[in-house]
Amino acid sequence: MTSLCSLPRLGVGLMYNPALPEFLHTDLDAIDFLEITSDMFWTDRGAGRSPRYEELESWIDVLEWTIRRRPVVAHNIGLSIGNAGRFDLEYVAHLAEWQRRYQFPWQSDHLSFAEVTAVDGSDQHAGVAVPLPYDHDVLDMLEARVQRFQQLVSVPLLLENSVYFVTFSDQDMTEPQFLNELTARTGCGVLLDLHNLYANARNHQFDAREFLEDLDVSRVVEAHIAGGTEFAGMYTDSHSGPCPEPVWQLLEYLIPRACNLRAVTFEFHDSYYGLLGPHGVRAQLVRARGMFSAS
Amino acid sequence: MGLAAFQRALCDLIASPALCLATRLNASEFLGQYDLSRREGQRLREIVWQRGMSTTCTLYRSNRVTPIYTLLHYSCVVLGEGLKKELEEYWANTELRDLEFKHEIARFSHFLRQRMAAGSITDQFIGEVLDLELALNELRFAPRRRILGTLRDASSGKEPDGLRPHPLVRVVRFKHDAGKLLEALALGVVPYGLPECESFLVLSAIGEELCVKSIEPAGARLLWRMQTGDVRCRDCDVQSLISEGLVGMWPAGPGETAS
Repeated sequence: MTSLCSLPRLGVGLMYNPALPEFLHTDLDAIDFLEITSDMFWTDRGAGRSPRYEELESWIDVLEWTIRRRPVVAHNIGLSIGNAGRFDLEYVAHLAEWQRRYQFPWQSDHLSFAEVTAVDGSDQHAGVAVPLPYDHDVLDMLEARVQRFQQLVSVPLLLENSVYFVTFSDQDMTEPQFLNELTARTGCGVLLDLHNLYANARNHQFDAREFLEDLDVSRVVEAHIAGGTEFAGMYTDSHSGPCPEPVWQLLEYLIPRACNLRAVTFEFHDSYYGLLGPHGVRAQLVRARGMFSAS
Repeated sequence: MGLAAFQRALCDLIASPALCLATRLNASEFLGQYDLSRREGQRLREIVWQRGMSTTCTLYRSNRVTPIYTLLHYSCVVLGEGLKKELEEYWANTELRDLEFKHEIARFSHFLRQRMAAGSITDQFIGEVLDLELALNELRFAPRRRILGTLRDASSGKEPDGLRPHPLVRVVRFKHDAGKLLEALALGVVPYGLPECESFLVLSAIGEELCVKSIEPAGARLLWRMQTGDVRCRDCDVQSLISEGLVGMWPAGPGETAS
């Protein structure tokens, strides 16, 4: 499997959303690569169904149009790698098939779980991405799964730091310690979502720069940047428009320190495209590129 | 004892603000249902008091309502104030198997139909608006090119065995003037007092864009009867539908993949 330091430098890109097809046609020069949430390109009919995955033709058209013109990376949401009840190898096999088809430089997912296994063995969805406690038993479980994933999919897996609104007491490790240990044991990378880090630091009153100092940033391959909003009493990762200044400052701090950083991705929710407009999206990409290309 | 039980308990709390409140008052009763370590139990006792738990419960609800409000929007408008009660009832009684939009709207529609059959929902418009939105979604998610390819292949191979509506066409029967009803709903208004009058809307995904086909009411009624399996027609009855490409000698089967 490719080591992190030999991954290609992609530059500055966008997370795909349903508002973007026209932008891709008119402003393709604004992006160096496109990131896709692969799970949005199919309907998952459920474990054991045949065929389990039904691809959405109009979405696949956009993917195939783009991949002829720009590199594409896969950012998944269905792995649920932290689900203690079951590791969905059928899903991993499907990602491996997509890997053979589209040759993504890497794939990523979230350090959390979204599915749980009921007592009767059936799958249930948590409705949100739920954080994991940073404990030794969780680390052991993830180590085996990350290794299995990388064996089957044959590209590095990046795991994204989650946004969390609740905290667990009496954890064995801090989040940076946990990420450092996981990446050291498995060779996987980190997709560092700087907006998630900013949201967590703001909601739980810690210093985001100290987090970066504690993290082995040589494992960071990709950074996410985005905007957010206050919602139900907390600052959330709603991807609601431009990045706030503190996120830009974190990116500026990270870039010279993260020797294997290969990509910076701006994310926004499609419902905010009307507010941002193509000029607003371009402005975010230009600012990110100004920082990244100086490194 | 272990992580899986802890995760189940945490998810049960996230799905139910009422359970969070009950656990604040009597944690042992809730925690006793799960095989938890002392540390896991303590974490859950603390979590129900955290401000972020309320945010997480709200995000859960927001994520669950998004597919419904996006893809069954007019049905939500028709339910109006009653929507909240229906959602509460639905969430309390339906397990969330996945967050696939297609599946979530199918589950919620099924729930609404059961409530209508039981007489718990009596709104005069909900049945026809739900029919329309389900038909639209069925076509929206249909593998259009695959179906068209299957039809092309079939036309040169298998023997057709009768006239059928095109698998990428749906007819919706309304008990009111569809145009006036949808105009009002587009403005967020439920047009109470709209007189009863049968009308039809013919939806087609045969072309690149999903569209409404304008055809004679008699033709639409005939197409609707064919769709419901009520009638098998002779060529002469449906000549205009055939020439529009809405009805043809398709072999049985390809339409099933659209749902």
